Amino acid sequence: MLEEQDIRAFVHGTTRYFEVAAQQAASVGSPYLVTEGAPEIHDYNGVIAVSGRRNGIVYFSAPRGMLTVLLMKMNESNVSHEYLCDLVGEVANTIAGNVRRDLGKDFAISVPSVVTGAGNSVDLPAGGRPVVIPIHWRSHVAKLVVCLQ
Amino acid sequence: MSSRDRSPAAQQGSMTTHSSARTRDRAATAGFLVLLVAFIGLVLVPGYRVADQLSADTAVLKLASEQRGQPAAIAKSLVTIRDRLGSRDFVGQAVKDLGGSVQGFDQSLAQLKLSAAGNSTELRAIESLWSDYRKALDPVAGFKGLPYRDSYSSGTQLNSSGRQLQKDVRQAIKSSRGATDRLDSALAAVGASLERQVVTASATLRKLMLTGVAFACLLVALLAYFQWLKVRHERLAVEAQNQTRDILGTVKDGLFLLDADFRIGKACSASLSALFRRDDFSGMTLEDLLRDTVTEKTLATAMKYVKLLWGERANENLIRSINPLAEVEVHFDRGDGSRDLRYLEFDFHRVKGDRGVRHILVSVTDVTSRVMLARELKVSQANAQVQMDMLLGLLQVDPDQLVSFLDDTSAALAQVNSVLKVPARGDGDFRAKIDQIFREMHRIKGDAATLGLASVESRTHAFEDLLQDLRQRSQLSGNDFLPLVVNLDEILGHLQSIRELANRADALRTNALLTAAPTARAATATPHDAGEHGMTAPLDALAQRVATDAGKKVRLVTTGLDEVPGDLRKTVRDIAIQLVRNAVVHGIEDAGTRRGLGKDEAGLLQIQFMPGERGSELAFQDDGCGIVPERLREAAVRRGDLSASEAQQLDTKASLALIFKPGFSTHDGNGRDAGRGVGLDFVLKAIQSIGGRISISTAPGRYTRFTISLPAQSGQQEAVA
Repeated sequence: MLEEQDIRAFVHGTTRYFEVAAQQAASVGSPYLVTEGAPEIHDYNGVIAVSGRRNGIVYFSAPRGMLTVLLMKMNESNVSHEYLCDLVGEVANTIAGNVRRDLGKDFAISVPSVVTGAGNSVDLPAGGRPVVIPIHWRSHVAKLVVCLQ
Repeated sequence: MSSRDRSPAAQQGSMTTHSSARTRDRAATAGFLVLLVAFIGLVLVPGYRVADQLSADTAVLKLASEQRGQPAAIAKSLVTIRDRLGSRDFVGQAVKDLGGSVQGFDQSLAQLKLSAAGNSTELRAIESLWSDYRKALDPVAGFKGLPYRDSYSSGTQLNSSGRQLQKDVRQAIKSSRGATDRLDSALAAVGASLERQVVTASATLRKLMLTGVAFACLLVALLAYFQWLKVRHERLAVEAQNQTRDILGTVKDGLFLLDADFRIGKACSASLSALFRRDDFSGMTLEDLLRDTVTEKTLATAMKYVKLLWGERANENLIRSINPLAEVEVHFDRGDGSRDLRYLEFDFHRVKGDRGVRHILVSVTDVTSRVMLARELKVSQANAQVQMDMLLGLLQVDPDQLVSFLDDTSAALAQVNSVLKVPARGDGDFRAKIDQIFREMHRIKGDAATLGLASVESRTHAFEDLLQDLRQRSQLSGNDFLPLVVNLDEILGHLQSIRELANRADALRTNALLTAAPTARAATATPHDAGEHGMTAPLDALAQRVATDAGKKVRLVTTGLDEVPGDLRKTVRDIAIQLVRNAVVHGIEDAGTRRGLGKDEAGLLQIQFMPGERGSELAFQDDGCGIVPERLREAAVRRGDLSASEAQQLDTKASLALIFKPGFSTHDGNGRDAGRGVGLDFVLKAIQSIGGRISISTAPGRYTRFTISLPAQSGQQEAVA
């Protein structure tokens, strides 16, 4: 069963990254559930595994365009695949750090892994309905997917 | 294994064994020392003395034997001096020999006096004899000078000293005749006495030597026994050490000792490493061990607690009851940034010695499985109770209606999720979602209330609370919708549980029907067969439940509901549910008011369905207080929907239309049956969705009537045709 406080911690970590790293706030779209199958993913996905009080997967999924602009906004001219992977991993890492700070020792969070390619998928634990939270930044939309048991 | 697992009898037995072993060792050591002292005191010292005496006696005996010839030698020297004096020979050497013999005898006598024979009668007799004899000898032995004088005339003659010497010699010879024999006899007697003493001493020495040998054998035996004890103790110590090592290496608990500085002892169980994910505990304190794994508050409490344990007067059982580490949550770094949650149980026991508490024995057990199991058990017990209650409730619900409800509700919740999924960024986008979601939830709530599914009704009501809260906010964003998603997920999960329970209830019902008598089957079926398509009974139940909650009485009369065509049945039922709730809450007065107005205590609700060729008509009427347009206008102004001047311009028809406005309500409360302003909005939208119309007629204080025209549906037209 989902808990609002847990999801808020992940959402806050995500928006906080944009505020600090890009100096431009992101807004949160209308969240919804995925009741059948797995959510579609974008080009770059930073995935973290959660254990402890809750178990599951959380990932930040962003299109190439958004990450490219984000890199440029951070004065980085190299927008290669490797840099984009590093960036999406960094977002996931920041989310993890914020959650550790906000929720303390209740959560054990793994180091991020990166999944690329819109055709790929992120393995989600059985028994939980993923919540998709759209993240709007400039004209781009990424998504934060929280799937906790 | 903690020490509490050992039986008190075993502990007592072990302590007794150790105590008796110590006592035996001490007794053996004391016995050895006593024997040693006795050996020294009774054998060695007397033996030394006897041997010493024997040696002295032997020497004196030898001396006495040697002195037996001395009186004869003295007598012979006297005779020699006499003879030489007679022949006028040189007497100097003879006098000198006599002096030496006298002096030697004196010395021998002095030695004999110091010996064991010093006090003997014989020696005293010798002394007396010698004293007298010596008086005669001294002038001879002490002679100095020349006893002769030479002259041409007479040749060599005795001078005066010579004559005196001659006289003294004769006197001495005379004395020697009696003294020599007596001295010899006396010396012989002394020698015999000394010989007897030597023989006695020898016998004593022999006995002492035999005793010494016995003592030595005993001491050797004792030494052998001590050696055996030592070897045995060493073997036992090694065995105990091995057993301790085996115990510490095998026991699943983490065991260690704490000293007064809270330092961990060197001997720890192997499991401690696995429990705390580290190998080296040397020099660590309890605080060091716990610092990174428990909260600061728990750590501080734990350290205060352990200090208490060192108090001699503190009651251990009492202290144990307040152990803050009896079940403590700990976190270990996995090394990849994540942390592992475990539950550990710490148990503290005081180890006491002769001088009070020596150590604190700490046992640590991983109770994660037990804690998790207990939690799961608690949750499953609670779930089982809830499921049982739900199951009993579901058994009262018509299976077809329940399946229909679950299907409709799933579809409605999917619709709610679809509404949420529509992209939104601005306040307007989010606000537009609220009314749509509200209607779906309100319909689900109404259906749940009709079927008596209180768990669903309460959940949807809580969801409506969230929506109501959002509606009143000045600015909306996606963050505000997170609680909706969480609650939607919870309701979906709950519906899934109901669906599973419904299947079980259906199976139970089927079994009951198969095994029951035909009459019983009829009785089981009866409640669901009552009413029009099973619609009246749930509506009546809803009306009675809402009336009871509102402190009112109500009576429902339906007509023609059995003629509602299949494709309209859901719409008619949904509309009827909302109108019943609306009428009971807003229209029907409480029993006291109605009595005062001359009305029947129970309000009357009438639902009439009239099929027609070009469509159907559904009439709903209550005999309540009616609708007062002025109150509607006041509510609209109060809510900010209209200004006062705009409200004044509304005619009766326009005023009555306000009740269909989303969120509009004249009800001040926010109960589960009214106050949201959703019910009539839902009714209007439901009617409009199938192309129908609704009209209201009302008379304040008398009635309110909704007349709903429903167009002919395809199925209905075919049936009519």
